[in-house]
Amino acid sequence: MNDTHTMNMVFSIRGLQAGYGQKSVLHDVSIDIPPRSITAIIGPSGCGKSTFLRCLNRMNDLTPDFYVRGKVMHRDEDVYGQSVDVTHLRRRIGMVFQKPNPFPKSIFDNVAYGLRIHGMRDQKKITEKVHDSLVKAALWDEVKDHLAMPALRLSGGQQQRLCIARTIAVAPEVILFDEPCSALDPVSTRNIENLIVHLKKDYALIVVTHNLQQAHRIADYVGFFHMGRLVEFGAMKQVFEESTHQLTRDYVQGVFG
Amino acid sequence: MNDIYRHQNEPWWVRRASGIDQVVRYAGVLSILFGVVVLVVLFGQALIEGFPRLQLEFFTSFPSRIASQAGILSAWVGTIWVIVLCALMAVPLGVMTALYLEEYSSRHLLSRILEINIANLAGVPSIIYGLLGLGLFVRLLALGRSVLAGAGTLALLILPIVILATREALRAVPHSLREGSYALGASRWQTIWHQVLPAAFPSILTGIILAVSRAVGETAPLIMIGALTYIAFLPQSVRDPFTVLPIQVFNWVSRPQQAFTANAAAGVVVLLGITLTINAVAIWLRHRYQQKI
Ligand SMILES: Nc1ncnc2c1ncn2[C@@H]1O[C@H](COP(=O)(O)OP(=O)(O)OP(=O)(O)O)[C@@H](O)[C@H]1O
Ligand SMILES: [Mg+2]
Repeated sequence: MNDTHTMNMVFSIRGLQAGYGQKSVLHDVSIDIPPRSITAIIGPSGCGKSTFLRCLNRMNDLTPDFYVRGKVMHRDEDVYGQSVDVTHLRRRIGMVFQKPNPFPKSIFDNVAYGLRIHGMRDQKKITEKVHDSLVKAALWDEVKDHLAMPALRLSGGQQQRLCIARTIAVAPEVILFDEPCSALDPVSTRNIENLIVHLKKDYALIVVTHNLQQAHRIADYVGFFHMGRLVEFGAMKQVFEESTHQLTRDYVQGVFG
Repeated sequence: MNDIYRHQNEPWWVRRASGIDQVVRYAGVLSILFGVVVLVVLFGQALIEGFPRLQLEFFTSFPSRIASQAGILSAWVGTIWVIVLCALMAVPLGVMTALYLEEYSSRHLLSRILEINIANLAGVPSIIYGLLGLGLFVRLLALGRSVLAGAGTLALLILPIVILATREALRAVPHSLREGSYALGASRWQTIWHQVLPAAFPSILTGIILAVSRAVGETAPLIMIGALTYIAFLPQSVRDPFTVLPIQVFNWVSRPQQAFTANAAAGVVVLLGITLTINAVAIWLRHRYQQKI
């Protein structure tokens, strides 16, 4: 792997180890995440998918006893470097959670929140950005007439799209999704999937999912984790259909999971 | 068919559960009734006894040796002075302390010890706070028997309650809310200010108001620091002497003349009225706030 290759990657991770206190969760994970693509992270429950994802935007800093070793590069910046401004980093690496977690505010304020905390004051610009983000998140048509409504009154699927909209609003380069559809019905799931595929042209997307069909439908690349190790990483077709690893083959065929 | 079969095979304690349910339900209703009845009887009796005295002059007159001319002007004005000052001291201090303990301090031994101590302080008899106030405010800081000393003493008294209530409220804010904010690149303070505090606000407010309404009724610590029982002027500054409603009531009750008992009863009605009003405002504010979300 040469240097220009690494430079083009959104993330290049080398020898990542992580865990909580005495418990080590990730062992020696190395992976390169390409830009403008969808990378699905699959693997049995408890294998460390969420832990891996939360290492990328330093969300785990908030967890007591968490530790991390190894190198996580985002473009040419060391994510765990001394001089990193974590708030700035998290703005550029957005995250959408398993359970939709809109703020107990209006729909408008949910999307405007990120803009405001990053110092945007111009009301016209905020309104414009909120509009753009809601359009991009495929939610605008459903909410344009009641932007002042409390976000908690939206349906689960709408709430999740709102969470995506507020993430888009602060203009990240990458969006991390931790099982974004597992709390949703099939129709909402399809909506979110279509949206994720659509967002691919502007962002790098990393999606943790338990749903193998979903990974099959949307992913360009797939990483398969097992007991804290990255067993395999490659193009979706290759992992699902031509894998040479017994573990991967068993998992994608549903032998265990 | 299936249902009947299951019913017959349930162990005895499952079948008994509905019986226990009934017992618990009636016990609960009785307990509530007991509390309500006691309160109503107390309030009713005070109202009947004190009603003739509840005229406008009662609120606009200073205390007097003649029962029919005595009023609670200095007492209710003093109560307002002391309570407002007390809240101004205890609320910011208590909320900031709770914020620090809950959001900033790492969960180390020291903060655990602090936590246990604060919980214990909330249970210390109020007369002890009177002693503390006497030593600290009246003597050491040489504030004398002033409004400031009284408010300070009561602020110490309710500080642990405010801290505990605020911590509970902060703890009840779901973690997912904080994560949502951090994930957008918010700093710790932005997350606290824009998400955590607004979400915890109704509960914090309730805690504060309960603490303040406790301070309204406190007598012992104020007697301890030497609040006067007979004051025929209004405090002009925080350095002036003062009296408060419960002390005035206490003073009248301890007089031998029958006529003063009516005054005391009227004072009790006013005191209860203030406390109930404060609580009603708390409920109303909370309700209004929750509807906005
Ligand atoms: N805050 C924490 N403290 C201690 N251990 C944790 C913590 N979070 C996760 N773990 C442990 O780390 C391991 C990996 O958890 P993680 O959430 O990353 O798994 P996952 O692959 O996302 O699982 P799932 O598919 O069920 O979401 C688990 O064994 C879990 O018990
Ligand atoms: Mg997970």
